[in-house]
Amino acid sequence: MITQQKALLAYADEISRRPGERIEVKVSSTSADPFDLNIVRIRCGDDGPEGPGLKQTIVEANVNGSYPARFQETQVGSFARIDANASFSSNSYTAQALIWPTCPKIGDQVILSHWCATSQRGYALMIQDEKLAVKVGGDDGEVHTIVSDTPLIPQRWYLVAVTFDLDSSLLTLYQIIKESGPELDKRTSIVSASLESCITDVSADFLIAGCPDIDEENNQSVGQLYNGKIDSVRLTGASLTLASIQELICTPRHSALIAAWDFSQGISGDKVLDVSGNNYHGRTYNLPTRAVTGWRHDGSEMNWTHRPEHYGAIHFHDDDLYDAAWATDAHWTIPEDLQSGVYAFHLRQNSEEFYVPFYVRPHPGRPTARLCLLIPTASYYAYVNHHINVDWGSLNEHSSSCFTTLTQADLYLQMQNVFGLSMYDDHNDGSGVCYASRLRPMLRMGPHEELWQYNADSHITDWLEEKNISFDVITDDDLHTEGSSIIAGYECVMTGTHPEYYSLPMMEALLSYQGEGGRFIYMGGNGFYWRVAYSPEFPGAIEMRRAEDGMRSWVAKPGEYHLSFSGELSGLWSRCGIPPERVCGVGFSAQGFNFGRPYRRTPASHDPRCSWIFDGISENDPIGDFGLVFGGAAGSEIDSADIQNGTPSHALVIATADDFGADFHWVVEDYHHAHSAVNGETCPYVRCDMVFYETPNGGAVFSTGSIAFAGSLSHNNYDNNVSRLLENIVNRFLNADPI
Amino acid sequence: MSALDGDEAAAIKTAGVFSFLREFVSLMNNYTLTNTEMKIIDPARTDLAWEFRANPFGPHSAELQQVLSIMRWKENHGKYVLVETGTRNRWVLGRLPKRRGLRVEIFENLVFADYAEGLWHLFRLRWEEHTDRTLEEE
Repeated sequence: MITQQKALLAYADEISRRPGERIEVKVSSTSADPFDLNIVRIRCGDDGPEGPGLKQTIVEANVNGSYPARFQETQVGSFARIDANASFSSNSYTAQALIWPTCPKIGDQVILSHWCATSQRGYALMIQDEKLAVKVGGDDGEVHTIVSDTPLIPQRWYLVAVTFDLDSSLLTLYQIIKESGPELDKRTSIVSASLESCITDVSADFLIAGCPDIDEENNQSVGQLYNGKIDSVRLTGASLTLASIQELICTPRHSALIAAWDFSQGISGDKVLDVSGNNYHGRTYNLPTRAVTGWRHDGSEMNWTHRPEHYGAIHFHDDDLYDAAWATDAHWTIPEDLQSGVYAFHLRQNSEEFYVPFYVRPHPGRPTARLCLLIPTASYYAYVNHHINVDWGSLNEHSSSCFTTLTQADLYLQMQNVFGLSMYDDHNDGSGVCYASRLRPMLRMGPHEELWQYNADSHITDWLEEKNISFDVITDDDLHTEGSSIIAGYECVMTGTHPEYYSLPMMEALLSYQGEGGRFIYMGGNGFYWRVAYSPEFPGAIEMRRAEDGMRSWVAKPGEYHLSFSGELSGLWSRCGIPPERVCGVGFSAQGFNFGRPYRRTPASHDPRCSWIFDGISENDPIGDFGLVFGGAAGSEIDSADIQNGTPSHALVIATADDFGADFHWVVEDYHHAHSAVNGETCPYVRCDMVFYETPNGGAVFSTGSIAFAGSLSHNNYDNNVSRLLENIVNRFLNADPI
Repeated sequence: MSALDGDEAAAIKTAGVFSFLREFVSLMNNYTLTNTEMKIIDPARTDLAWEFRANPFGPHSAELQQVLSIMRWKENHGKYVLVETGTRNRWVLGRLPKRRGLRVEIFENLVFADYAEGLWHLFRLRWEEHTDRTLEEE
C-alpha cells in the first residue's frame, strides 16, 4: 500500500560540527508513538539492487535512546511583520501600497493587514476573487467587505489604498493602474461605502503580505498569504485624498504619516525599515525575494546595488520557507575523539525512519588525515525537496530521455506544500525559487534515496573506507566561511560527484589551495557551474539567480540577476569570470540520464607526466564499461576540456568517452545559434574528458568530468579499472613529493 | 499552425492596424495555449515499438528517437508514470493530477517486477493515445 504520507520528519540546527560543538535535532511526527534515535556513521547509503548496500555503524552516544513524539507546526509563506503599536489604531486612516500581483485568482490574499484574528476587528486590504477588496471589522462586531468593480490583471503595477474617514464614516477603496496601454485604463477602480461602525484600539501587529489567523485550537499563524510584489507601503492616520496618496509614494512626508516602509533599504537582510522618522521597523519572515524590480524600475539600471530605489519591491510567495522553527527534541555534543566523517541522526518510529545528516570536521589547523573530502552541501541544498519529477512535465522526460518515474519522496512532496521548494522549482505563482535552506526537513538527502548528490557521494566514502584511505570531511559551508585555510593542511582535496553550486569565497579557496601546491581530485560532472552566495543574516541558506544562460529550470527576470545577499552577479560561473575549466580543467558539456559510456585512453595518456595513472590497467580495455549510475563510468552530467574556456594549455586529456547517442544533449550555453546538431550523435562536443595537469609548487589536478564515475568504483568487489585508476591517483596525490 | 482565413481574416482586415495586431496576438496566444496539435506517430511503424521493447534504455534508432520525442510532449494532467514502491524490484503504475498538492493516482494492481516492463507498459499507453491503436504483443 502506497500512502503518499510521511509520519516522521526532522532536521538539525547545524550541518557541520567540530568535536566539542553541539548539534540539535528537531522532530515532528503525526504519530504519538515514541521514536528511537541513534547517531550513525554512514559509509554507504546505496541499498539498490546492484549497490554496495546500506553500510552504517551506530555510534555510542549519550543521546541515543527513545523520545516522545509530537507534531510541530510549520509556518509556510513569506510576509513582513511590524510589532503592534498603539499608533496603528487611528480612527481615520489610509493604508496604501504599490502591488504587482502574480496570481489574483487563487483565493483570498492579504496585502496589508492590521487585524486581530481573535476579535475579528481591524482591517485588511486584500485580493478576493481576482478583485481588490478591504474587509473591516468594526466596533459593532460585524465584518464588512467592499470590493473593487474590476479584476486585477496579473503582473501589472497598481497603486492600491484604503481610506476611512471617521467624520463621514466613508470607507474608500482605490485601485489605480500605474501602467499605460490599450485597455489598461479600464482597470482603475474607486469604490466607497458608508461604514456605520469605526475601529478603535486594535491590538495587532501590522502585517504585509498576510493576515493573522487562528485555528480551533487557538494556534496563531499568518494566513491568507499574498503572491506577488509589494512596494512603497505607507500608513497614515488620516483619510487622504487620491492626490495625497499619490504624492506619498515618492515623498513620504505628511503631518499624519505613521509609517513609510522602504524596501529598497536593507535589501540584503530581513529588516523592513520605516523611513517616516517614527522608526516602526519590522522584519520579513521566510525569505521573500528581495532585489527584485520595483514599480520605479525603468530598465536604466540592472544592478540593484547601483540604484536601490528601482528595487523597492519585495516578492512574497505563499510557499516560501526559510526556517521551520521547530523546537528541539534532542541534542548532542560531538565527542573529542569522534573521527571526522559523515554522520546522521537516525530516527525510527514503527515502520517509519528518517535520517538527519551532519558532518564532523576536525579542529581548525589540526587535520586528522592527509585527504580531505569536500562535501558539496551547497549543491545538496539546491536540490533538497525538489519537485522536478512531477513539475517539470515534458521537460523532465525530454531532458532525461526516459518516461517519468516517481519516488516515494516525489509522492510525498507532491501532496504537501509545507517544506518548501528547491532551486529547481517554480513557486506557486510561477516565479523561480532562488533561495534554499537547510532549516527544514530535507527529503532526498539520506540513505535509500536516489543516486544523486548525497547518496551518490556515499559511493566515494564507501570506496575510501574499502581502500583504508583515511579522510577528513569539510563542507561547502565551512569552505565558504573559513576559506583556503581550512583545507591548506591537506595533501589532497577530493570533491563529491556534483559540486555544482559555488560561492566566490569557495572558488577563491580552491584556486588558492591549488596555487600553493595542493592536489585536487574532481570526482564529478557539472561542477563549479552556478554562482551562489551565503549570508551571515540567513545562516543555513544560499541564494542563486538563473541569469542569462545555462541549463536553467527557470529564468531570472530582467534586472534580477544580482543576488540580494551580496549584490554579486549570479548565473553561470563561466559568465562571471571564473569558468569551471580554471578550477578543474573541464566544464559542463552534456547530459543524458539513461545510460553511461566507458572512457578510452588517449595517446596523451602515455606521456610520462601521467602514464603512472594507468599502472595495472590494460592498454586497450575500456575504462568503466560498468557502473551503478546508468551502467558506465562516464555518464549523467559530463564535462569536457576546452582551452578557449579556460582549460590550462598544458592539461592532458588522458581519456575520453564519446558515442553517447542522441539521448545526450549538448549544453545550451555553448552554442549560440539554433541548429539540430546538438546531441551525442551529431555534436563532437558531447563527450566526457578525463584530465590531468600539474599546478604550481608541486601540485596537480585530476578530473573525472563525470557524475557517474563514482558509481563504478564498487564493481566486481572494488576490483576494476576505475577503482585502480583512482587508487593510483590518490596514492600519488597523497605522496608529498612534488608532482 | 493554421492560417487566418475566412470570416476571421475579413473581420481583421476591416479593423485597422492596431486592432489587427491585438487580434493577431490574441489568436496566437490562444492557439499556443490551447490548440497545440500533437505530432503524428505512424501507427504502421510497430517495428519501432518492438525496438523499444527490446531496448527501452537506448541508444535508439533515429526513427524511434523521433517517436519517443513526440510521446514525451505530454501534459502532466492525466499522464501515466511509474512509481517506485519502496520495495525492491516493484513499481506500480501511477497517473499525475492536475496540479501540485493533489494526490497521484496509484494503480496498485498494475505491478511491475522489472523496470523495463514498466517502461514498456507506459510506451504502449502512449502509443495507443497517439495512434488510437493498441499494441499487441508479437
